[in-house]
Amino acid sequence: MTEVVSAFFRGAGYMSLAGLTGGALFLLNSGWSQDARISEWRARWIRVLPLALAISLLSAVAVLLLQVATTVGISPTDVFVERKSVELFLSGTQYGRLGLVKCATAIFMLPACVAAARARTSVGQRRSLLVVAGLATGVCVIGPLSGHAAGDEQTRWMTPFHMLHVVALSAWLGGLPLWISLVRCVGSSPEDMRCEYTADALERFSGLAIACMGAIIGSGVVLTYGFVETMGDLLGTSYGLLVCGKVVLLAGVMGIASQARLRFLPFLRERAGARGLYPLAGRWVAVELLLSLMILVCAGFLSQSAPAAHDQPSWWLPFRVSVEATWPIAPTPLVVSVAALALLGSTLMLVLRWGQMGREARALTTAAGLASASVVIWQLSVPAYPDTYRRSVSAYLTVSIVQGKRHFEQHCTACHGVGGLGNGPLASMLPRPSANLSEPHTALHTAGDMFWWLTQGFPESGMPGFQRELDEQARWDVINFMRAFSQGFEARLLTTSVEYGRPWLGAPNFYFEEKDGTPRELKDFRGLGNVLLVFMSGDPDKDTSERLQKLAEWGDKNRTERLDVLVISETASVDVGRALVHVRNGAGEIMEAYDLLSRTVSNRGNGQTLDMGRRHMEFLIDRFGYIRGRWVPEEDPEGWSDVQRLKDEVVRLATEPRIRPPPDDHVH
Amino acid sequence: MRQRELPAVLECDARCLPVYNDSRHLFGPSPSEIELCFNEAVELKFSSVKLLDAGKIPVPLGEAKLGDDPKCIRAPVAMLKAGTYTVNYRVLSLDGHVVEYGYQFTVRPEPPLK
Repeated sequence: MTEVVSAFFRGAGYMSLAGLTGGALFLLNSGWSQDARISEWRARWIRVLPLALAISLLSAVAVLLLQVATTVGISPTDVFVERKSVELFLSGTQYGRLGLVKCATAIFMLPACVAAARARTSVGQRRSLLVVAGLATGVCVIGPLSGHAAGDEQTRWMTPFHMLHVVALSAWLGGLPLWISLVRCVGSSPEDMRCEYTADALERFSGLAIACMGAIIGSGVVLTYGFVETMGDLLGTSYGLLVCGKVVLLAGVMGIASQARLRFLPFLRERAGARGLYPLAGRWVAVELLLSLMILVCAGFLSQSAPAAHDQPSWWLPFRVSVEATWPIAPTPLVVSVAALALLGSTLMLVLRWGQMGREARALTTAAGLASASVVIWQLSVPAYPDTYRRSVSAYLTVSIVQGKRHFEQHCTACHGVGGLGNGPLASMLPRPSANLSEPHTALHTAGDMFWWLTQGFPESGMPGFQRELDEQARWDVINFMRAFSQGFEARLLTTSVEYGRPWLGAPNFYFEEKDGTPRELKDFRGLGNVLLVFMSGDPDKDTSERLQKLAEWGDKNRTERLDVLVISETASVDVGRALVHVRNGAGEIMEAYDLLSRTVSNRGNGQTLDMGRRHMEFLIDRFGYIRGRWVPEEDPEGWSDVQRLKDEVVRLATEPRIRPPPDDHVH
Repeated sequence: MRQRELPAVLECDARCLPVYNDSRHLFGPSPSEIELCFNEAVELKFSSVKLLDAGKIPVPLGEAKLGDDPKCIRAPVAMLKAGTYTVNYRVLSLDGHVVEYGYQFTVRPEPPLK
């Protein structure tokens, strides 16, 4: 309830602020007039400015008090008792301080509003209106400083776009009531001079409105790009749906505005046309104003919604569009190409020959276009579930992979088999064959799809849901394990020779301690240099010790082709010297996770266990966090035993261009 | 034995997507402090952190302070016994949003030194 009331006050605040900004700009643009009726119209609107100011101030105070109530966790009525909390909030938080600055700036507008109402000369009135417009714009600019973008340094660059969005919206929307009122005023008593004045005023406003609309759309696209990452964000979160609502309403606004510009403005100077056209235009722009006010209500709710990229999407359609998943499957490319051409053709027909087409031809062409669009969407669609775009709450960490493996061993092997190959003892009794989890993960399914199946089950295949047995984190752990397990089979092609320019296998992250106890993680090396992970379950022989020491010292000297060496072993006695890092605590867990990635072309495991049981393996990770090379000495005794061979690979890796680090999950 | 300075780290969002529960990987016998890191700066005056043991009994925490990074809150904690703990937090982000959430971590016994 508090949220709804708060959204209402926010909407009222936006409207009144728009009235001050856009109203003052409209009056400035339309200019002074000697005509008594026009002068009376201007005076009436100038008298409205203090009222808009009062609403703006009251709304700002109400929003602040409701914010205190939400923050402290008390009912809105108790805010008046909790004075200390209010004082602390206003003085001790950025949101509170900026709220006070907004209120103070608004109060400074009052003398200017009064001066504008009392001005007896055009110059005096113009100056006062300029001050009102300037201060109102200032208040518009302050708001985004405590908005979504400002709180996060990664999105702070969007704050100027947010400011531009609010200012442009206010400048345009605030002029609409004056537009309607001027048209009604002049339409009821059209005189040549009044029609000329109206034509000038509305043409100037139209120019301003086009510029504002460009700024609103441009900045809106930037803000949406920053806060909406996937289709799930757009259609599955309240933020995304509010953005969609704004876009639909804005489309309606633009449709009406374009009609007003094309069908009304050219005839404004004709007195004869005024009698019929003015009232009609007034009614249409009133609808435009209504749609615009609905946009502001959406903006009110939007400002207190979590940005879509920070929310958990809930997908409500039974399908999703995925080019990545459907394009490789014939005959998708052919069908989509033909349907897209038909869609393009019908659209061009409608746009270019609308005036020359009869009603039936228009209907047929529109139907053909809609049918083509449906074919495109249908062909590119794959099944989807409410959790399809859900974000993982468990990072791709070795601890998560190992926990997921434990859960898998406890709950899944009866059907999927102890080796994860879909050959468990119960598999033959199921309506559908159990999934062989060693198969490569495809774009047909998102991590969210798997989360849905783990949660709700997959009735067609006989798989039960595990909502009761596994909490959310545990289910994501299982998905992380399945990712590592499946990628382990794809990673069989990894060798000691790096395949240049084709990184694909993200290295699972883990935490460890430096020699002095400083906590670190594998991700810390990203952007700095390459890392060699050396896993050993026993003491290294003399040759291995010397080799590792050489590698670590070499890496230390050559910063551009840096190579950090982490020896990961719970039991090995390693003379770590100065350059090597020995990860001992938690080493067993890290090794267990990386063991899943140690399958080779000649040895894909025995299918009777998930593990490979390696005693010694080495992984070369590039400076972007991808596993690029691997040595399993028991299968390739030579491998990187020659230090120079590994050094050559590292030197060549340093020449690769910068790429993005691997994603933390595998949602497509 | 030296007291490890490893904090219980939670990387999460000051909005609604918390629990990147990295903290399950605790090496030592006990963290010296609880550190909550968000992707937005937080207002310390209207933020609180509570720690409960496996029996849901509150464990005393020192005064919470902002870390070197204003997106992190740190609260010192006395030596914890091995077991599962729950951290409940309520934070106010710079953009005025309140986030309330909780997560669990486990303190493991230190592995024996070889």
